Amino acid sequence: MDNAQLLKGILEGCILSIISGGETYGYHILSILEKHGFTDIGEGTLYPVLTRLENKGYIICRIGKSPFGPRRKYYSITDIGLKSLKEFIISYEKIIKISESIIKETLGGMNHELF
Amino acid sequence: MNYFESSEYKDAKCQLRDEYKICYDKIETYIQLASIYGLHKEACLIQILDDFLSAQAEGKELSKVTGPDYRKYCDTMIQAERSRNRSKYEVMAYIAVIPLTVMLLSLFTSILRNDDKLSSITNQIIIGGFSIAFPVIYLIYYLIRQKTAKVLFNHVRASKAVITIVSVIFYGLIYLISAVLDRALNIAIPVPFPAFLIIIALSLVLLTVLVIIEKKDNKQLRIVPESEETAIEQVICPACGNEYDMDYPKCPYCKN
Repeated sequence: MDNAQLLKGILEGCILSIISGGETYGYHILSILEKHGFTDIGEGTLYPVLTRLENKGYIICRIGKSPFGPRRKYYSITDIGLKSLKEFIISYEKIIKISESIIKETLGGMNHELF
Repeated sequence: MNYFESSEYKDAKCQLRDEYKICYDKIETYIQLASIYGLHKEACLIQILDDFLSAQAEGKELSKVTGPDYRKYCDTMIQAERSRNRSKYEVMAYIAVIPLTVMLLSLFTSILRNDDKLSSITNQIIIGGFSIAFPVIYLIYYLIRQKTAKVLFNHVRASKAVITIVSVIFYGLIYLISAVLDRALNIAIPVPFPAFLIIIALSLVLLTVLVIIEKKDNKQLRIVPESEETAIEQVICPACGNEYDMDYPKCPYCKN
């Protein structure tokens, strides 16, 4: 099964969730994703998601200073973004519940022979 | 002032070491030379530079940030940045710019050909092969630049040299090549002068409207100071005394 398709929507929700915690920047988001197990995600995956979220109006971007001296892009969530995050959490929990229930019921009677 | 000429940018670039420095030089050359339409170079490069400096401060391997293929990473970043700035009215801008360019080139060549017969210009403008060949050659030059920058991504010096040569040839010979094509194509489409004026006026009005709309919908990034509400708490490094964001695992200045 294509993990990338499965990950696409979930990653957007996770990134939105990280940004909802307060203004942050690309590398910090990447570090949090990595800390929680998304180790294969590089900046080349993250940045398109950030621009997509920005184009949808879920986050806004400003340029500020970084401790290293040059400019840095900081992202923060908008009201529409917060609304979308709430909707994502509801949908996500519902999907997880349904998927778990199906997997439990179907695999339960197969003595886990798939594994 | 161009941000890339500022001491802030140059100082930050100087902090890059080893593989980070080599890779950033390649990316910077690629983005600067390829002259990609609609790309806000500064916005794209500051994101990459900041990521590289942050990753380097943590001692992370470069490939963890970029993946194994640097050019692919670079193209993804460019694509994402372009999508952020892409105008909804791009097609309309082409509709305005192309006839305007062709008409102005036709006027230019008509003046050159009829310098003593102003009345014939005010009667009609001739769209010749030159007016069509010039934009086509410009487009070819633009594509050659992009292709060269892509192919020579890993060879910074060669890329700069080839693109400089191509640019010198292009700017030196474009008029000559267009003139040769003008004769070879032997095109002469007459446009009555009032129609010419209407096309120019409509193109200019459309362009002005688009510029006004774009300004209203402006997504260009500006430097905005951090608000106290969203500011990341600062800590003082006990070793070097510099202040840095508390979410850094190490001090970005002295690495303690």
